[in-house]
Amino acid sequence: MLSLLKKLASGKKDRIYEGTTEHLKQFRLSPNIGDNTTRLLDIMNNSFDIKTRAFKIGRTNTRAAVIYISELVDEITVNNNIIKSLILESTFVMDKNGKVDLDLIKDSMLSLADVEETETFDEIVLGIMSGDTFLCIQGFTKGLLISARKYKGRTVGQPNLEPSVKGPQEAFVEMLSVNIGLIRRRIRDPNLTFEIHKLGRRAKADIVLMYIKGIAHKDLIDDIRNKLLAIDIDKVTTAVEVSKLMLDRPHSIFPLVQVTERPDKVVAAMNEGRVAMIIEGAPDAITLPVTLPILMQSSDDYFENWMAATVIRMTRYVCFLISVLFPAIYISTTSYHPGMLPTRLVLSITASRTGVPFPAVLEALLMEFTLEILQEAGIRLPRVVGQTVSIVGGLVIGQAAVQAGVVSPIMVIVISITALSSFAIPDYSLSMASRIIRIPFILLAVTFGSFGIAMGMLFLLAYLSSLRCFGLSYLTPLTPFRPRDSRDSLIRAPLWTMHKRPEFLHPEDTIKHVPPAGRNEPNDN
Amino acid sequence: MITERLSKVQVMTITVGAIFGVDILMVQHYMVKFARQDGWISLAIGGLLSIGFAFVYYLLAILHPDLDLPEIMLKLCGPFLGRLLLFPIALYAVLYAGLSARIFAQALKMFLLDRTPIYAIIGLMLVVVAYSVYKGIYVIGSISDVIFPICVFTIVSMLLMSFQQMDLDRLQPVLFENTDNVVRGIFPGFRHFLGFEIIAYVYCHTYRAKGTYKWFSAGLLIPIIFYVMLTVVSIGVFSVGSLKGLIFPTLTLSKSIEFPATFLERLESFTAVVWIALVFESLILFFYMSVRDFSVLLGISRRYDKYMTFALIAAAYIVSLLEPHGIQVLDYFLTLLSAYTLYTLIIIPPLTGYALLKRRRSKQ
Repeated sequence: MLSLLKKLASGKKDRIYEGTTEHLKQFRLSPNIGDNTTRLLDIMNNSFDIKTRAFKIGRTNTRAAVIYISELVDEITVNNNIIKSLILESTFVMDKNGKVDLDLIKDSMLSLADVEETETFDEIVLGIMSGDTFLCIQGFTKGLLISARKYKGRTVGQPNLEPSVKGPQEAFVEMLSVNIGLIRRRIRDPNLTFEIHKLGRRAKADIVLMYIKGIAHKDLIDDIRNKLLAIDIDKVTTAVEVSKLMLDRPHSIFPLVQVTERPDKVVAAMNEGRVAMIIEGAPDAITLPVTLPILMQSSDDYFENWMAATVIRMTRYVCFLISVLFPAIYISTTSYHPGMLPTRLVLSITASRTGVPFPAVLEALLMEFTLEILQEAGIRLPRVVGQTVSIVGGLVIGQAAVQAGVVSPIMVIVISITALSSFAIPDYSLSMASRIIRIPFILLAVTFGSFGIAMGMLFLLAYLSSLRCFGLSYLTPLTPFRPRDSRDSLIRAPLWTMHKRPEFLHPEDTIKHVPPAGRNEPNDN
Repeated sequence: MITERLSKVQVMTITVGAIFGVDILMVQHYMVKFARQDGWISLAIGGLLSIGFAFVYYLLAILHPDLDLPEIMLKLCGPFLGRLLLFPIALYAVLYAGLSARIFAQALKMFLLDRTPIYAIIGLMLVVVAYSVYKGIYVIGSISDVIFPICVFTIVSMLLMSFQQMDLDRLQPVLFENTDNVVRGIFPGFRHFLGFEIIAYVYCHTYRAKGTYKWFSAGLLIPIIFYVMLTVVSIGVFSVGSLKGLIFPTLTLSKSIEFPATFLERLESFTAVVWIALVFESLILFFYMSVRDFSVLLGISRRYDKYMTFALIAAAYIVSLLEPHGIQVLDYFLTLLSAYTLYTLIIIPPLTGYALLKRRRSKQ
């Protein structure tokens, strides 16, 4: 009774999920390959892309068959290294009595790197679905899963969302193996660990947990792994989707993971002691844990002189504030506190608003709405047309709206600066968050003036302070203030001063590099 | 993965935040009322005395590193007497929060929001306070961390910009036939530094690292320096006579700073944001104290004490709107501060002494 009540309270139900391969565990291979192929094709609903090829091994009467999905394997390899070998070079696979020996086929004949014995249907189906080729031989209750995968996909290109002026120009693609190669190439450390997990009851997507053993804290890795393995979902397509299921605050407006398409960013994150995740079929990786100052960092910060990088980074923080607050401050100042402004400026603003039929708040909301439409249209349309939309929307409609007296020129300036500032935020999700919270600030400003803005900021501060990402406060290292870690937060100190890894990540190996002896001038980049 | 604790720096920022409150807007007015141009001396002496009393609380806290003040009181005095002694302290925190919210709302109405009703100003403020307190002490610590540097920067800038308007002659004569008034002003000066008792509520959440007392001392000294400087500058700018007529001289001072022919001629709206932040921080800390007090009083465990926030916010809202006359609220506020100061002066030192004695006995 008590357990029933507990179950009801927790809202959990015992369910048997359909479409998984778990139930196939009970079925084992039969010695008859006809039965095996028929059953496999039945399980996979006789889809047209599943190819079977039955043949006889050498000059014997022993029949064999291979089953694979044509789009996921390299058919030339299958033909040359599996089928051809078995048909023509079968003498190698006979034992002394002239019978076919599965071990000999596996060890002496198949010149492919990854060959595994299998006997249950769940493994076989999952292997075929992942791009393996299944070989079964008459008379054996075991088969071989042979990896001859060849996924078709685009080649490594330039990052679209995170372009860099000086840094590497490579971005992840949709193929996991390529992405892993991009990371391996950058860290030649045997401690670089890739843990592969299958995720999704139906999709069985390959998701890889990446970290550098000996740098990332063990508890952090365990925590992330446990949360990852606890996910029960039928299908996932991106690592971001996975992260949403792992976080304590999935409804947070602010991003609690860093999504990146840049391998160099993932490498830098792992080198600090963070953990990354990448999933098959997604052209981006996520890094965990994340804090607000991390999201304000850009790859270019580390390719520039530290003074230039600091100024640029601080500009970004100012841009974040402008993006959130500027329309609200304009409305509050003109509506509640015009006395703060010089008389001539007040007159100028008043003159520019003459003839505008709407109050400033409505004007601002109208412009915001137009801006959102423009941004959304720009993203959805093909790139060439998207630029046209920007020109038509930004210049033509803006100019026409001012001339028609629907909005004042000063409001167009305010909203334009706000929009530009939001584009200066390096993380897209953070930029999106700033766009969303701008509206409540406008409403607070029109209701309570600067008091409303102040209360909104304090609420935002409390909200940001309450966010945690795998136990890490979202505002770390600004608060709780850590002087050493703050060298790479609001500012970007010279690299030689940052010889230790961030303390807040509790790295197992704290030393990043040994500072040059007697170094006292920040002439390093 | 990480055990969350308050850092040493946060001990300082929280202490500063608890001491700074609505008093920062009017401390000069009351000190001048008592000791005229020597009000700053009374304030300085009162402040230094408050450091001594603050360390009594600190001692009590370090003797019970896993408990906060209400729990300590119950442990030392037993469940009945402990609750009896705790009740006035719990009541004080709610009344303080309600009255200071009202006073601040009046100040805002007077200087910034002349058409906005007071109940709306207090309502919005208390909603945000409730959210912050509900999120717990570590969120409060983070808020203090962020507010602290902004406030220090703003107050220092305001003081520096006010220097040019100062007339040092207005501070003279120093202590001339005014010693009695200076002495009489020490107690009123002392009560403006209330809030240091927060240490007895947060010490159990700190890392308890060596040197915490240094940061706590810094947290006590910073408000003394700023209050004294504000009083000195205000006397120099406004004179004693004018200051007696200004209820919120700090706001008037920030309004008096002008930047002709620049983008913004006056900065009072921006400095108001800082005063709002300071009062807000003080409110959340006092609410936190009251939440803890009432939770222990009613036997609610730490896990559920955050829900007490909503009941207390409603109580504080009612308290803040009970009195229709603004000036009367100021009188109530000062009476409350005096009563609480006397009460704690009577209760806390003997309690600490008893705790010390108990510790010594247990060691023997």
